[in-house]
Amino acid sequence: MSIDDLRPVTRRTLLAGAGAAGLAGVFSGCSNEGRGGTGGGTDKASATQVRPAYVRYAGVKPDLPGSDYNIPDAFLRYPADPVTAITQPPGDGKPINVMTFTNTPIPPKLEQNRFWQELDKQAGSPISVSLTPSVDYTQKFATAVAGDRLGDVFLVGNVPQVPQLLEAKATDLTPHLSGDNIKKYPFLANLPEVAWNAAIFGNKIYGVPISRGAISSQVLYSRADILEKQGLKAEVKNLDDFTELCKQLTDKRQNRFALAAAPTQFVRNMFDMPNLWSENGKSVVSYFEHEAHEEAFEILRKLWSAGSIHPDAFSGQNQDLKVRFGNGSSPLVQDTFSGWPSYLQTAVDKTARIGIIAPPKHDGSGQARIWLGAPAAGFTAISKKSEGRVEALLSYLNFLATPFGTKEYLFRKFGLRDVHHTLVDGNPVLTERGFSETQLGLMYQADGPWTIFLPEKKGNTEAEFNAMKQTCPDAIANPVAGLYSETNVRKGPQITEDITQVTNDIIQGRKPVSAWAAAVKKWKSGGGDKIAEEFSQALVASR
Amino acid sequence: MTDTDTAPPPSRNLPIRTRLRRDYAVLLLALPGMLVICAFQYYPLWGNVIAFQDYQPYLGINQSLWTGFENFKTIVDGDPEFLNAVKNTLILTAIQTVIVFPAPIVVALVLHSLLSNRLRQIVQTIIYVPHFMSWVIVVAVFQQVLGGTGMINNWLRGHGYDPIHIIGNVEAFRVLLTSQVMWKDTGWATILFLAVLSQIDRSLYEASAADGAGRWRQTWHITLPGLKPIIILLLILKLGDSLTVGFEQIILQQPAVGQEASEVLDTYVYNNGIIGGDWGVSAAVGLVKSVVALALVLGANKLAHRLGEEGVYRG
Amino acid sequence: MSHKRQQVLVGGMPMPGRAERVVKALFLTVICGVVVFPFIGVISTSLASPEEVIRAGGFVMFPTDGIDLSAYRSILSGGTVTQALVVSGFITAVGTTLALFLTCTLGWALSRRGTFGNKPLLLLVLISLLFNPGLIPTYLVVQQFGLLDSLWAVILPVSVSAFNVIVVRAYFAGLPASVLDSARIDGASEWKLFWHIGLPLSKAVVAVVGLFYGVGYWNSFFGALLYLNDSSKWPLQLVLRTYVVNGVEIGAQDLGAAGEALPPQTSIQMAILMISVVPILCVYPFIQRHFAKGVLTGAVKG
Repeated sequence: MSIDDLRPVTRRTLLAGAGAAGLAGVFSGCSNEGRGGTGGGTDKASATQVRPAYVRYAGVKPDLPGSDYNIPDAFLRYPADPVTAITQPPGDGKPINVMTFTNTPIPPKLEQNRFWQELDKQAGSPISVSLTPSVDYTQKFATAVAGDRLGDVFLVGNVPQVPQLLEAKATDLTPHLSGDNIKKYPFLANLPEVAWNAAIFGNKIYGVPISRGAISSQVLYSRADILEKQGLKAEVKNLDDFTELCKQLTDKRQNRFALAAAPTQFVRNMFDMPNLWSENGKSVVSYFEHEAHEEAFEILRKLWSAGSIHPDAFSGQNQDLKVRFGNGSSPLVQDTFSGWPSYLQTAVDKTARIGIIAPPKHDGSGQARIWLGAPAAGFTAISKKSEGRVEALLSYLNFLATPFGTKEYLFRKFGLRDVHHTLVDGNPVLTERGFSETQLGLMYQADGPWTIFLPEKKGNTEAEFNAMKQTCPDAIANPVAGLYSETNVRKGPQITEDITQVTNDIIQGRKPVSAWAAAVKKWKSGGGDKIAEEFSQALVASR
Repeated sequence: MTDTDTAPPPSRNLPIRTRLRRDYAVLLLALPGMLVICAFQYYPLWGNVIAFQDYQPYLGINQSLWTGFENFKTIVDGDPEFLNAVKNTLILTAIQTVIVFPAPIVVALVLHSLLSNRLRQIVQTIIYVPHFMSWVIVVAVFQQVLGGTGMINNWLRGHGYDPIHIIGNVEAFRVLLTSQVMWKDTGWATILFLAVLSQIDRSLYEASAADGAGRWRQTWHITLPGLKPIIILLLILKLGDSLTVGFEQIILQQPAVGQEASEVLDTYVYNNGIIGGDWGVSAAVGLVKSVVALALVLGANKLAHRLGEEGVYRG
Repeated sequence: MSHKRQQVLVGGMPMPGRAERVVKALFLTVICGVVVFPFIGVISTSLASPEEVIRAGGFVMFPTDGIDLSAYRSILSGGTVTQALVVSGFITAVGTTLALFLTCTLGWALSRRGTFGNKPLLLLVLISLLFNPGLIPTYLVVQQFGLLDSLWAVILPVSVSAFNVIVVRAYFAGLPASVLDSARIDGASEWKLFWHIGLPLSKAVVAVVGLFYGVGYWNSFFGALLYLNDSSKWPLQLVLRTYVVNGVEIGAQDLGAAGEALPPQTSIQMAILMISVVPILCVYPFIQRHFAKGVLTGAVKG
C-alpha cells in the first residue's frame, strides 16, 4: 500500500459522509495497493500448479490491440454487429443471491426495472443483489460473515485472516478453474493471468478476480490546451524541467497552482524507486528504504514552498482534484489512467484537452518508469453453502465476464436498445432510464477485461491508448501484489497512515527532511519488518 | 416544584407482595420500555466477551481464541500513542465543557427574553439548521470559507496579502474543532433549555417585579435557578461522555493535521481496532471506557446530592 | 432601575432597556449571520449550473448563470428517492410514535419514586447509556429476533434512548406534587394520572423528545445499511448516500461507460442536503408551537 494511495482512501471516506459507519469500508481496490497482482511479463505465481489457463478470446477484434504493450484493448466504436457469446442461459433457475458493493445510485426495484427483469431472463435465474455503498462495505461484510449471511456469491471484503475466512466460508474453486478446467468458462479464462493472484491462497483458487492492471497506474495528467496557450511543452527532460514547468503554471495572485496535489509518486518515479516493494529473489524490501527519498523530498518541499502545489492539497476532498483540473486552476494532476473519462467530463472549457506527462529520470538520462497498477480490484467468492450449485454460479460469473464487443457486454453495460440506450454514430449512449436501471453492481461481481472506449469526445480513445502505450510497457510491477500478508492487513493501514503523515509534514515543511529516517525505522519496528518477512515467504512459496 | 419534599410512601418494611400489588400499575408502565432496553442494550452486551478474545467474525465467539487480558495490554502498558489519544481527548473535553456547553444556555436566555414570539421562532428555526448538516458538509463548508483557497484566502491573495493558514494548521486545530462544534450544535442545544424555560412559572417573575427586581436580578434569581436542575443533569450525563469526542468530525480532518494532534480515544480504537480487524482490542478499550464513564457519572451524581441537587437520580 | 417608577411588565419581566435591546439585536444578528451566510452558499451551490460550480472550484454564493436544477434532477429522476421518501416517512412516523410511547411510559414509571424496584430500574437505564454492545453482537441479536430485512430492524433497536428517558423522567419528577396528589385522592388510576395529567402538563418536553426521535429516525441509515439487503426498502438517507459515494473511485473510474455527464459532486452534495433538511424544516413549526408557551402556569392556577 503506497503513501499516495492512502490519501484517496481518506478523501473517499470524506466524501461518503457517514460516521463511524462510513469509515471502515475502504476496499482494497485502489490502485497499487499491496494485495492484488504482479505486474508485467514476469509472472511468478504461474509456477503454481493450480493457476488457471489463459485463453484469449478472439471473437472480437479491437481497433487498437493493446496486448503487445500489456495494456487494455481500445475501441473507436462499438461493433455494429455484436457477437453472441453465450447461447444458453447460465443459471439453474433457482435464485442467485449476490452480495457486493456499489459506487453508483441504487437501481429501481425489480417490478419497475425492465433491465433487471431482462437480466433475470438472460441469466436464467432470478438475481437478487444486496448492495452496499462501497465505503461501508467492510462493516457490512464483517456483520454478514458473523451472521453467516454472505449470499451465494460475495465480493470479499478487505478484512484480516482472509485465507482462514475463505477456508471456512467459501467454496474451493480449484477443481473447476485450475489449469484447463477453466476452459469450460471461456470468459473467465479470458481474464488476464496476473489478475488471478488476488484470488489464489495457499495453492487454492477461491474466487474470480475483478481485473484492472495497467489502467490503474498513476500518471501525471496535464491540461494540454492550457500548456499550449502558454507556449509550454508537455514534455519534461529532467528534474529542473519539471520544476520550471510548475513554476510557469503557477500564479498565486490569480489563484493558480500548477499541481492539484503533491506529485509524490511522479517524483519518486523520477528517482527510480521500486513499486512499493523490491525483491532479490529471496526477500523483499520496502521502497521506504530507498536511498533517494531525502532528495525527492527536497524537490517536493521546493514545489510546496513555491506555491506550485494547491494549498488545499492536504486537506481537500477527492472531487476537488477533478474540479481544480477541470476549471484550470491546477493544470497538472496525478491520477490513474482510469480517471481519464471523468477528467474529460469535468472540464468546463469545451476546448479542453487532456494529455499526460511521462516522468523523466531525474538526471535527464531518459524516461523514467512509472508504477504498474494492481492487476485486480478484488475478487468474488462462492459461498460454501452453495457448493452444490457451483457450476451454475461460475457460469453466471462467466456470463458477467463476457468482454467488450459481445452482445452480452452491450446488454450488461447499456441495457436494451431504445429503452436504456440509443445509438449515436453507431455507439451506445445510455439514456436517463438506462443510467438508473443498470446500476446493479454487476461490475463488482465479475467483469471482462478493461477496455478503453471513449466515444464521447473524438480523439480521446487514441490519446489515452497512446499515453498508456508510452508509459506502461516497461512500468515497474509490484513483486508482491496478490500475495497475502496477515500483518499487512492488520497493521499495514495504520503504520502506513503514520508514515504518510510524516511525508505530508515533511513536504509542507512542518518536519525536517531528516525526520524521514526515524519514521521509516518506526514503520519497520511497528510491523513493516514483519510484513516484509511475510511477503518474502509468500513470494518464495509462490515460485 | 419537585416531589422531593412529599414523603415517599413508607415501603422498605412492607412485604414484597404488598408492594407489588400496590405498584403493579407503575411497573406495567415501565415494562415495554425496559423490555426494549434489555433486548437491544443488555442482551447484546455478552458480545463484550470478545474483549478477552482474538475475535474473528468468521469463527464467531465460540471458536475464536481466548487470549485472557492480552487485549488490555495497550491500556495497562500505557502505549504512548494510546496515552497521546487520552491526552487529546481530555483536552478537547475540557475545552468543550468550558466553552461549548454554556454557549446554548446564553443563547437560550437571550431568546427567552425576547418579547416577540415570532422573532424568537424565526431565530430559533434559523439556528437549528446547521444541526442537520452531516459532518462532511460542515467540514466542507468550513473548507470553503477558511481553506487555503477558501473565500477569505482567495480574497487575501487576490489583494496581495498573505493568506492565513487555518485548515491543516496543527496549532489551530483545536480552535477549528471547537468552532465547528459550536457552529453546528449551539442552536440545536438551546432547544432543551428553552423548553425548560418555557415552564418557569410566570407568577414568580411577576412577584419579583412587584418587589422591584430588575431584569438582571430576575435572570439571576429566577431564570437560572429554574435551569439549574437540567444543567446539572446534562453535565452529569456529559461527564459519562467525556471520553467520547467528535469521532466523525475528527477522523474526517485527521489527514490534514496528523495523528499526533488529532488522535482521540475513539479514532485510536478505530484506527487500531476496526481497520486492523482487531475487534478484541476495540472491545477492550470500549469496556474500560464504559466502566470509567460509569464511575464518573455515579461520582458526579453523588457530588450533586452533596450539594443538595437532584442530579440524575436520588441515591 | 428605580422601583418607584411605574413598570410595564411583559411576561412578568420589566421592559428591556434600550442598550440591552441593541446588544441583543446585535448578538442575534451575528449568530444568524454566521449560520445563514454559509447556508446561502449551500442553497446557491445546489442551484448553480454545473459549469459555474466547477469554475468556482466549490461554493457559488451568487449564481450568475441563472438557476439550474440538474443536481436535483439527477437525484430525483431514478424514482428511487421518492420511494425512499415514503419509507423514511413511515419509519419516522411509526418510530417516533412508538419511541415516544415507550420513553414516556418508562420515564413516568421511573419518576414515581419509592415504588417497587424504582431505583434499580433507573440505574439499569442509566448504565445502558454508558455501555455499548458493539456492531456485531447487535447485528446477531437483530438476526436472532428475525428482524433482518424488515423495517422493524431499523425502528425497534433505537426506540428507547436512555438519555431521553432520563430527561423525561426528570421533567415528570418536577411536576407539582399538589396537582398529582389531588387527582390521586380523587381516585385516578396510574394510567389516568400519566395520560390525562402528566402528559398534558409536559407537552414541552414531549415535543422536544419527539423532535429528537423524529430527527434521529429521519437521519438514520446505518441500521438500514446493515439489516436491509433489499435496497427497495432503504430509507432516504441511505439512498442519498449512494449519490454521495457516486463516482468514488474503486481502483478505477467505473462511471466511464455511463457517458452521461453528471453534475459535480459539490452540487449533488448540497442538493442532497437540501432534500433531507427541507422536510424537517417544514414539520418543525408545528412542533415548536408546543413548547413556545408555558403550559404549566395555567394548570396550577386553574
